[in-house]
Amino acid sequence: MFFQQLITGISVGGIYALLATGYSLIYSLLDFSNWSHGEFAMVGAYVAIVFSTMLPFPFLVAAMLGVAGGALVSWLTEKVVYRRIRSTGGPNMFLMIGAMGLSSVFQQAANLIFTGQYRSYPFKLPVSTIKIAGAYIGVLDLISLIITAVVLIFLMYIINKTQFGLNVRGIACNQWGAKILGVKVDSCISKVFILAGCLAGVAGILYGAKYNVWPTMGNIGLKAFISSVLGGLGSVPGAILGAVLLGIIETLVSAYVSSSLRDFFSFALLIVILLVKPSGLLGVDVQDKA
Amino acid sequence: MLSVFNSINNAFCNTLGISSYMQGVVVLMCINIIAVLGMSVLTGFTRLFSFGNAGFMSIGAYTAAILTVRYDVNFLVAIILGAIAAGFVAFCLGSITLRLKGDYFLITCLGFGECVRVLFNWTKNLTGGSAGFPGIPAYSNMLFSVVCCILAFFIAWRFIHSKYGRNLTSIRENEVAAQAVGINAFRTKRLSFVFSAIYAGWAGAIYAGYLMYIVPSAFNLGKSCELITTTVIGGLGSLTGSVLGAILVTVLPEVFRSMANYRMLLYGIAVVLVIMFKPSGLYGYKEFSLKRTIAWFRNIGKGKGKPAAAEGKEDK
Amino acid sequence: MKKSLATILSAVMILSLAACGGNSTAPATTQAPATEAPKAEATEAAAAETEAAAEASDEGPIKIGYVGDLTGGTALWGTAGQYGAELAAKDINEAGGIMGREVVIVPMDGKGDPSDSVSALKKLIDDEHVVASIGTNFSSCNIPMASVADEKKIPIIATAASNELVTVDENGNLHPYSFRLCFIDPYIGEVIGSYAAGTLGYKTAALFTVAGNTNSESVGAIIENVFTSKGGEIVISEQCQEADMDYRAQLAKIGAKNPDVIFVLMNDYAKLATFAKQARELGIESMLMGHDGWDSAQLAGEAGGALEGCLYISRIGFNTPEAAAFGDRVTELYKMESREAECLFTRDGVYWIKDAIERAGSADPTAIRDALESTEKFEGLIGTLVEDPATHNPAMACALFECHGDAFEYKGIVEAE
Repeated sequence: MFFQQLITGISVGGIYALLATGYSLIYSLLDFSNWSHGEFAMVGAYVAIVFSTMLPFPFLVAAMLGVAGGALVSWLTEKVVYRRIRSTGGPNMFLMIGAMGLSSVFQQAANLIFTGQYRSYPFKLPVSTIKIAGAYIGVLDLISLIITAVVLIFLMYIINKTQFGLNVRGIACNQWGAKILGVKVDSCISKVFILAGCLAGVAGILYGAKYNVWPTMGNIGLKAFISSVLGGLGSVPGAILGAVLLGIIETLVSAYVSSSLRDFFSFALLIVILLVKPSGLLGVDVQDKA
Repeated sequence: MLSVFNSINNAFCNTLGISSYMQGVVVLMCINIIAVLGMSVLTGFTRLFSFGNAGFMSIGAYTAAILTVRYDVNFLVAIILGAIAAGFVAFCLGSITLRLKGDYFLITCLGFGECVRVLFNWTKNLTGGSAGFPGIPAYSNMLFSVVCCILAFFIAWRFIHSKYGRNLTSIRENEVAAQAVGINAFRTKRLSFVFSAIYAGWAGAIYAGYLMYIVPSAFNLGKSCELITTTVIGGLGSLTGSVLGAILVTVLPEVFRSMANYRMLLYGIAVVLVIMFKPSGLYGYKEFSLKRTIAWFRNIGKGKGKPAAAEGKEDK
Repeated sequence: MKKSLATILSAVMILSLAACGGNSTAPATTQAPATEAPKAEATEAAAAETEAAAEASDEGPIKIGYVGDLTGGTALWGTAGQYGAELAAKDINEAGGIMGREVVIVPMDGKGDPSDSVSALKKLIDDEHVVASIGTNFSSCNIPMASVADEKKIPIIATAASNELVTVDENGNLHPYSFRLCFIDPYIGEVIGSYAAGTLGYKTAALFTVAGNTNSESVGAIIENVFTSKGGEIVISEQCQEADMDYRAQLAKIGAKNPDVIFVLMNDYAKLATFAKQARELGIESMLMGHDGWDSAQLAGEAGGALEGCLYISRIGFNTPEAAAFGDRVTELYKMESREAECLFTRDGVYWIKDAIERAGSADPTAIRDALESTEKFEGLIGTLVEDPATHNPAMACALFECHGDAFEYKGIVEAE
């Protein structure tokens, strides 16, 4: 049974990982926690719902439009809200508060437009399971793990091997320095938000396909935040590692300690890990907020 | 004693024509003010962000509830013990986690808040679990809450303007320099954390006496987020700003209550707008000052808008 | 001097806000800006307010309040309740109103949060002068609301709040102004436990509840007691968190014990369907049994066969032609996507109040309360309600449902054995 629990943990973590990637990307760039990242995923999921159920588009097209939707809302948020907050100076906490307010606005808007009704995509994704070495793993879980891996490789390539990635790393290091060297900071940040938004959109659609789509599904963004902290803020591979680890911790605690007190022991374990490694598992040194 | 207490309050409210609905709003306002004052000291003056103060409220509430209901303790003593219990837990937690930086500390506080909630749901014999803890005596009438609120403000003000308060602000401005001057950063941060927890526990204890029934889920992550948001909107570094922020946060949902279905949407939009256009909060970093207010009014007359920091060179 | 000035000003701000709020005699829906009110005016205002309250119960429209979750996580239920009440009021008004007077429903959002719901109720009573109020469906909200109702002497009718403390406090004393339209947790727990152990003859069971959910945990505790007292054994008890979507960790443990039946006490049909599907994926073939939290038209379809042959026990719900017709009218008129049983509850609440007013001959809140308590029999769409004056807990029939294909079929009435 241990192997089954491990497999379950990895597949749960795989869902968190995709969201954690986009989240951590924004964090490593702007040094703030985008509390509304989960809502970008939700918007992407809903856009795909609208195009696949209310309008007669084939699912793959609707999914791509959903990803585009996530990217669009992410880009708009940055342009309209975050840029404004950044320009007034002040601690990064303000961005986080703004994100928190936005998250509430998005959820309420979705609730008003779509009602709290659960929505599903109009086809049956493979919900079958396959058996590996005596443990069951869902096909959809495998698909999302594979997609996460592909995305990670793609992202690592962009960040390490392209000019754009170099600009991004430069801005993350020192915004003013990068500006002086001729990097178009604002446009670069917009592009990163678009990228993160795409990732969020994919995460949202996968999550929606696996379960359902509803206005508060973005609350899973909190797990992405915790994963990023666990793995080390400022490190995208760290976020993915943190996500998978979080999934495993949650499942194993639930299975072997107590399912009622799962969150209690999971957080206690998190605190212990942070005491041993104060910057997370793969984290870079972080300064205090504000 | 409690019935005498309540009849004084009722007489006062009836002569002023204050409906029980308004009394409720005022009590909730005072509860929020006390909790936010604590957060203000922690966040505004020490720049530590905690997403778990609802957990301290919960500890304060349940301690006061258990003491008054099961052990017939006088409610004043129960409230004090509730606040102290919260402070004690903060002392222990802070000793472990305050060495972490920034978002890491934030997550541990968040985790703490959730742990408290999950734990109190599980300990059914002690706390009643998810079915809640009923039968708490109604000691939080309007007058008592207002008195507590004023007292809390007074104490917080004295604290900020004391040696300890100055240590806090020096750490906020530049931790390394402060340490160079001999301030023990860790101890000072812990003091500030404990202070905010005591206030949160105090607020929680009053909440227990108001609703007369508490459930662990009333003190959830949403509540902690609300405390942080209010502190920031009120103005980091301003106690009066925090009071104003708390009043607004309590009153706004009531104002919008008649727009039943759109309530929370408007509230969220309000938060975003404030943070976009007046991010220093309603009071900025300064306290309320009579001189500056008069000068401001005078300058409107002169058609100059805000006075260019001319009059009233106030100490912070 | 500065700090005392600041504290005095804060106190004045707070108190003046309170005083001005008390000045409103007409039903105020927005707060006036904070202004000081001279004492003489204020006492007059207080007198005028009680007069207005008295007037409201004698002539003019009859106002009935509804407190529900209109904006929170379960807003689907809350808004369904709001629409059910409003449609019922519309029907009543078209037929001539209650004793010739128009019925007006005043909805207030309580977010499903205890202190928010209490504030909503207080506002309905003090500002809107309702003669009675319906809602909520959360026991955690109705327990403190009951004390407020007793103090202000306005009857409230909970819809689906099933914890015992809603009508009878922790010392065994009745809350005279608190009523409800549903059966209580101990009753349904008893029915389920005895049906599983007795009629179905199960010997081993697993219990799966939602941590932190009042209803789930208390029904679960009752089922455990009843099942074991009838000779069964609970071999394993697991929980999930409210927001969880993945239950495979717990299911793997449950599967290892191989129980005859799993009691799954969840209130959300999508999560229930996921649970069932994940259980089948892990090779668990046990029977799944549930309580009224399973009552949703979409559950069977969503589960896609994972719940074939499974049972749940609940109120009769939409399974009578009249109830189904009303549900359809609500969904059509208010453009809802599905029928939610809360609309039946609120409709029954409105009609029950109408019945009480007509029997009492007056819309005075205390008279309504007495008439509600002395109800012999009230035929609602939820079922036949027989009131118990000692506990205000109605005796209502439970129904058994079994899953076949795309829907749950109504199998008949069950009672505790």
